[in-house]
Amino acid sequence: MLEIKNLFAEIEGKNILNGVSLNIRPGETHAIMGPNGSGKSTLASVLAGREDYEVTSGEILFDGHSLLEMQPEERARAGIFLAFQYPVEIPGVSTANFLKAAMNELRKSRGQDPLDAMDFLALMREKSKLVEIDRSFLQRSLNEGFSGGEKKRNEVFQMAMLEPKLAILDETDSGLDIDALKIVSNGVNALRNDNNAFVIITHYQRLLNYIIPDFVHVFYKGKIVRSGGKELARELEEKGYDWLKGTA
Amino acid sequence: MENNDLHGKLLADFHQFEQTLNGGINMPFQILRREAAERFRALGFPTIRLEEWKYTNVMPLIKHDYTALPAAVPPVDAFPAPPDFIPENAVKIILINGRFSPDYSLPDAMPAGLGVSSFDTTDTETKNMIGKILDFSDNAFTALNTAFAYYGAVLKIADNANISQPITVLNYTDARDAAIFAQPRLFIYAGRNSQASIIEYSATIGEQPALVNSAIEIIAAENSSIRHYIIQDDTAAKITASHIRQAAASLYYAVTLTLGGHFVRNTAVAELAAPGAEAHFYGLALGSDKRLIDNHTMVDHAAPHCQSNEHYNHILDDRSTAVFNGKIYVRKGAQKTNAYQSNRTILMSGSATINSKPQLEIYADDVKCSHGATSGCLDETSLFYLRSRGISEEKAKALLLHAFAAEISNKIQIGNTRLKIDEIIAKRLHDEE
Ligand SMILES: Nc1ncnc2c1ncn2[C@@H]1O[C@H](COP(=O)(O)OP(=O)(O)OP(=O)(O)O)[C@@H](O)[C@H]1O
Ligand SMILES: [Mg+2]
Repeated sequence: MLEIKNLFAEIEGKNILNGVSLNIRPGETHAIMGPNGSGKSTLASVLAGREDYEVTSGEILFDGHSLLEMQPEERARAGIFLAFQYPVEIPGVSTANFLKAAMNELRKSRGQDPLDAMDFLALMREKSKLVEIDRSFLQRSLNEGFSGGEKKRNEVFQMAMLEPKLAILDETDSGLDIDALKIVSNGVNALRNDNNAFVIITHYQRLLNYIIPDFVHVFYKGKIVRSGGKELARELEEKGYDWLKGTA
Repeated sequence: MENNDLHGKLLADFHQFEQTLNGGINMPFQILRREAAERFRALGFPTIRLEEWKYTNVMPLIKHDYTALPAAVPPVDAFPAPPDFIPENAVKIILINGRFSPDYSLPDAMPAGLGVSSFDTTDTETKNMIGKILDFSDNAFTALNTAFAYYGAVLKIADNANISQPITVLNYTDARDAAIFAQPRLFIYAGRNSQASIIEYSATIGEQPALVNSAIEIIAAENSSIRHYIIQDDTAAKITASHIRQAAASLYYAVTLTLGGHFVRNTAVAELAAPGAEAHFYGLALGSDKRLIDNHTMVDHAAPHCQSNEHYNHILDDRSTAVFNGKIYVRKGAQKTNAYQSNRTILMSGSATINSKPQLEIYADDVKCSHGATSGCLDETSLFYLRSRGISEEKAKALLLHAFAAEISNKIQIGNTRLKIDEIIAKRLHDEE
């Protein structure tokens, strides 16, 4: 589904990604861990199409198509979803209104008719239950004045609504209380199937007790320095990152 | 010089007009009109050398061969029906070519507490009030309007009256046959504890040059509330002046939406003359092509314990220009003043321009005043967030612009009017389903 081949990217002349390679197949869940500033969010942003970063070499294929040539909205329509580490506050645009616009654009790109108001409401009701988000939030301005945890939950709600093929969750667990963590994890698990895939960026092994990854990758100085199964996360939790530093 | 040609012609028109009026020449307002004509003679049209007109060049407007003489008034059905944001039940006050047209205006059942008359027929007490607060000493357009303000409309809201039907003032201009320079004028008196909402809207027919130079005076008695919605979407060039004088605990709440028009200059003054008075100015300007939208506001805090709140948003595309000049004047003794001002501009094109100038003059020491002005492009991070969900760049821009515009249009407190205006704005900003 996703093939990242020896990817280098920079911002303002500073190298951030230094040769990332990663293959993700349908049905898989990959966790990415790694120290602050190692480039995890940068990779997520490059996948989603943020233009601030310049890809200097390497290639990304998504379902065989070159991702780097696609606009952010085209990537979303192709099935990529990024749950932001820092969701943006958008005053004056309600979550409901925004999702309706997003949903209809996705449907249009697949040659489907827009959802009518009733069906859209019903879908919102169903998905808001999944992540236990209070529906009054959906009428409020997108993320405006939401607490840290509410913003994260809203990201997962959006993911549930849009049903992407590849979802990248960038530290969606930070800022969540223990109950919310369970709710969000259950939400994610409910969405997992053989046709989609998840990339979970996290600092904490705790999340991986709920969302059990097939692979764990360790990011360091802009590339993956180690990959393994779920037990790698536990090892990192115990030893920290110091033992990896020689490997970079 | 063409400017002088028009200037001289308008003065000649004035004298001709005076000849045609029989009687009443010694009325106080007639004397004022003559003074105003004199003032217009002395001032001439403003040039960009004047600070108040630095960015707003009227020369291209006044090169036409206008007449200010009240032309024949066409019947009201020559004009398009009022747009659907005007509530069905609204009281309609119609001015055609600057003349109040009572025949078309007065509904059979005027709401209780609302009196409508014209400058020449109103009661003596009102006649004596007209023209007292709108200063024309340094504004040639206000002077010109005052000189020709014979057919203005008077709205009187009785003490304690709560007028639930919105009062709509429709200014129609006929530019089918000749260039026209209309001078509509309004005088409003809001009695003690009264409440009313006023919607102003104007429309022009015909292809000849049209310049609508309107002026409005409002006297707000103790504890009155006036909500004033000004919807500007006219093909005529517009120059407006308004002045409200507020007594104790009165509320003035103005929402000015400039959606269209190639040239708009608004000068609005709120004079907070007694304790507890409160003025709100909300403004939205949508600029495109080579349009110019200029808002000059002045809040005069002349008494203690008053509040003012001003919030103007601009969206400027193409080669449009906006001017915002917000003066807050806090007089000595106006302690406990609370004054807030903000002006935000989104520039959609590198060729659009905003000239924003807050002007605070504060002569009291125990006051809270703040102001802020920002301008820039749409926020990239917000755009990316929306696009990352599959929304096209175009639609993402439209959503953000619409939200920004709605910050102001949402201030309209007449539900259906707010909704309909929102639909118009959505369309203009391409935020449609
Ligand atoms: N706009 C920018 N300008 C300059 N440097 C940047 C910019 N954006 C990111 N960086 C730098 O790139 C590096 C990688 O940042 P990134 O956000 O990808 O790290 P991360 O692995 O997600 O860290 P964290 O775990 O703290 O979220 C950091 O050193 C960061 O300072
Ligand atoms: Mg990060």
